[in-house]
Amino acid sequence: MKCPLGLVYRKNCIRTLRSVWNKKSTKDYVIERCKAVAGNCLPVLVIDDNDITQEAKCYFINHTFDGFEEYDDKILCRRVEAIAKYSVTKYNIQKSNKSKEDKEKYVLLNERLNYKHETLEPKDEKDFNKFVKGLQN
Amino acid sequence: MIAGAFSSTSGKADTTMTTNGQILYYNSGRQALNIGDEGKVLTVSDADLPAWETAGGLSSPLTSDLVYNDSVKAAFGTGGSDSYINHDGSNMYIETSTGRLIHNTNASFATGKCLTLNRDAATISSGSITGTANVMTVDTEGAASTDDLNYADYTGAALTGAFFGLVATNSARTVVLKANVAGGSSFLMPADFSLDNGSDFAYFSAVHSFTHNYGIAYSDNAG
Repeated sequence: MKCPLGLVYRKNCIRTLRSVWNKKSTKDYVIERCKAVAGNCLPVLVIDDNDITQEAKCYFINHTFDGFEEYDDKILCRRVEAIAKYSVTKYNIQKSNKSKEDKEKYVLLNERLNYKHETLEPKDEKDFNKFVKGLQN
Repeated sequence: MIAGAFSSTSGKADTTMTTNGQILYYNSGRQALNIGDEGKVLTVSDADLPAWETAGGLSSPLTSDLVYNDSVKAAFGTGGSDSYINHDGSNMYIETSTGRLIHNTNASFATGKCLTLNRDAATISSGSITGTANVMTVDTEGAASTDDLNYADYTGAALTGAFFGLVATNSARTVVLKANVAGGSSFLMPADFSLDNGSDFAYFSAVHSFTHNYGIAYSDNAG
């Protein structure tokens, strides 16, 4: 069972997006990995990719290991909310059917713009915005 | 032997040798061999006659490769003080075309010197890579956006015992290190870890003669 795209294992949590988390296969995968390795029992932080201004939701596997219950960890929520735009855009680029070269280029620009908050060259920013807008259509 | 000072029973030596430095030898009669050039040594020619030739053996500095036969040692020192191999130039290489370089004693670096390790690239194939360097940049199979890495084989004779790090080749592709997968050269680590970004890094020890890779540290440097 392969790790679904958009489900990212960090040291203290698992970060994902609502559209990924809503799939049964994603939850099944997390349950299977929790059963396989106890250390994988981590809070799952879910960003709403339809509205990144929403608060992130936090879930934790239940004690019967067959579902999830809401869990409150504002520190982790704030951390993923801080990179919500970066995470959502990166996932959209990764899952697209664009060329390998385009994905590499625009993931890097996304990282500079939305993670490191650098100012891009006007041409790069224009290209980036056009590319990202094209993914949504 | 000086012309005129040599006396033989036939009394002909002085008529054979006429120049300073000549020596006398027999070859169907008495023959004179002229003195050789400076540094030449007296040897036996292919015709089994005395001749002056360039000295064999090493002459410093060497101008061609020096080849030792198998199992021949280059020995330095005789149990006394330190010995040195000096190098004055650009990089110095010890090239081993097969096998590996083995020290049979501890190794130290002089003060202010540093050991640096190179890296190599690997692409996941059916969930595995084979290690070849102390840092591997890992790419997904078929440049997929995400791929699982279950095993890293560092069990080869020249690899077992290595400390090694893994980093994603490109931020656009996510390599997921799977913890404690059964069998093979799996990663013994507390939890799965995504190399989601070129900034992420995971470090392991391939303990000598052991199969598994022991996790040391994981840095999720990009969220």
